[in-house]
Amino acid sequence: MRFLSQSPTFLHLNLKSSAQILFVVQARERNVFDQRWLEYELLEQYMSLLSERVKSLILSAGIRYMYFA
Amino acid sequence: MTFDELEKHATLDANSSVLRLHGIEISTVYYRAGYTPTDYLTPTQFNTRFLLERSKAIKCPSIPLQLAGGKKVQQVLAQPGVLERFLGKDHSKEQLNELRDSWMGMWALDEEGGIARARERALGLVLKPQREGGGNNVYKEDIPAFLDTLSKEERQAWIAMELIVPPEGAKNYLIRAGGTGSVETEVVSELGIFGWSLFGPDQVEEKQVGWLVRTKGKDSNEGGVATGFSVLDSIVLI
Repeated sequence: MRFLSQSPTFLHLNLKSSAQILFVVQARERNVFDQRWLEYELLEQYMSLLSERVKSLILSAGIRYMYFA
Repeated sequence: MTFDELEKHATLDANSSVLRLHGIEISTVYYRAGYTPTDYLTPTQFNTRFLLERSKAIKCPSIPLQLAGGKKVQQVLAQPGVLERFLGKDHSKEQLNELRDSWMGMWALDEEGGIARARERALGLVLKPQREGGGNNVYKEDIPAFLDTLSKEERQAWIAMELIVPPEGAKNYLIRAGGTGSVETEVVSELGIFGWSLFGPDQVEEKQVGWLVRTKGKDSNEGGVATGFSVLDSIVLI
């Protein structure tokens, strides 16, 4: 996330640009209040970095609440 | 993904502790599940959580951090001398007392006389289990009957807390999505400040990054937006 990536500790974590963020959800997850903002922010900042393979995996794995505008 | 889906697809590299999903490294695990007993119906789901926990991915939250947010930990922090252990080095006695004064009284149901005290003061209390979100607490006049049904073993999971007495006469309009019109009522608001913390080996870095106001009708004991008791609100600074 933008604000997090400015953190000095975060910069020292030796991040690999290929690494992904995992959202663990309940089956038939219906709570949107907590994660929706995080998803929008992540998609706005990083969607362009996702490979076609990852996009298709996300779609086929049935991750809910991921929207691709 | 759910714990069940992760059980099939997540792997942990024994040497590097790298968490992978379909071969892709995971940098961060964000939990929207795992806060309720029904998310762990089988040992497999516990094992999957433990696998994610052992990885080098950033966990939001890690198991220690999740436990630290528990009601039981709040209750233990309120016990004499415990706050001193964590903040005593850098804070004066006055500062610690000031902080403690901002808390409501709390005690464990399984401590000496805990049940009797909860019965005596029931009308000014709420009983809380170790849960997130709304819908799990027991309030006021419901407490004595609930205590009758609570087994000795189950007592350990519950704490008693004095109810916060909100200011009177604050009116507002509650509006439900898709509903018709609004409800004018006396309300109680709760301000939450949120932020992020990164725990490194030698240091903790943290920052406040936002806020959330939840408002409910004064006569509703429960809170929680997702559970339908509260509505989202905003603040006007006067």
